[in-house]
Amino acid sequence: MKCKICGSNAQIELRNHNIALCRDDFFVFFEKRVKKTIEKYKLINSSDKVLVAISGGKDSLALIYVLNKLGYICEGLYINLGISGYSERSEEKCKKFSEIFGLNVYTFSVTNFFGTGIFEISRKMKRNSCSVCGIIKRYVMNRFGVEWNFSVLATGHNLDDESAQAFGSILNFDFTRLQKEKILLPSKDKVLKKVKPFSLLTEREIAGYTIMKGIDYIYEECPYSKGATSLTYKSALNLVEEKSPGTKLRFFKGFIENQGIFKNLIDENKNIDKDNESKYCVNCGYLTYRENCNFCLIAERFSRKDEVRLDFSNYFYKL
Amino acid sequence: MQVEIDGRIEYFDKAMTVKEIFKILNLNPEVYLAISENGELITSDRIVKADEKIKIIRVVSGG
Repeated sequence: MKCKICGSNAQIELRNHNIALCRDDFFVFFEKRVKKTIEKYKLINSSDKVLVAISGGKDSLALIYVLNKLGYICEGLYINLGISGYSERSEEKCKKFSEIFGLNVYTFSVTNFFGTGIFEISRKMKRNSCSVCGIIKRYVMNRFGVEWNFSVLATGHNLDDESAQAFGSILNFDFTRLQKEKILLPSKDKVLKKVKPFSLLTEREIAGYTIMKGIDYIYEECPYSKGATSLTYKSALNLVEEKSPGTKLRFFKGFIENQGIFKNLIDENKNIDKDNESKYCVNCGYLTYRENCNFCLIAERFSRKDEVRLDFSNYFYKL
Repeated sequence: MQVEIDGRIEYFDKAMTVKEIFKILNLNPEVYLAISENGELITSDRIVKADEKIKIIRVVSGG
């Protein structure tokens, strides 16, 4: 197979774009696509200071690498979830990445803060690990970003993640989630603007870029992601994609363009935000829908409420 | 040929294209990438010789 641009041997076939590309032309294609997404949806501007949520996986490491290459000011934050073995290995990948590419990466250790890892926290809170992990990650990323003067939080969510989520919400007629799924979530008081610059790139394209760039990432999955429904939705979409290349991209682009219809459906039934007016957590002062935010409720269970309020910034270190 | 996939090794005694290997192993090309011994990605039409080693990696993650 030959590269569509230069005619040399291709290294990657992009059936969704009906092309095959060599290494160098794929880099150009990939970086152009990220830049175009950022500009089209006004995700980041040149004066922004971007915090990139990194996990040691391909998406987040590729994201911070590309943003830096495109000239954006960015630093990473890695959250060590205290998952035995997996967390040590993923942190090591982030550390090596930071050393090799000269990018600043900060870390927050769940075990250091709560005295135990995500499994024990979820057991004690009687919630599943993914839900607790989401609460902790969202809170820590946002708070670090706000207090360390970042203007944007960027995550490595890709086309497969986004289309699978939209697909799952449609299957369940979950109009609230359908309306909430965005490439850009604007900032509010004490809430950082959140963006997903990889929303129009597939996991396959991101993995290809990461491998060709020689970025070493963690291949293994989080042990708690086994059996996740999102994987079933991804598999279903990839089956369709195999037979009809470009389906995921058409579906997700169509979803973004037509998202307004879901808002009308919610308004016709009941206003979801009516009873959920945001207020500030009485302990930490960050936005919540209750007296205490979910993070502070966990902190209370582990006798760390004062630490959240008084010296949270002391729990962040440079990797 | 030796094909490493998901921590296991599969052996084939004749040359085949990547596309044929994926078909035999029942792999969706949207979910996997093939890498040659020298670390380069290889496309579906590339013939893998009988004495070659390749690696196939899964690119879709959970969460």
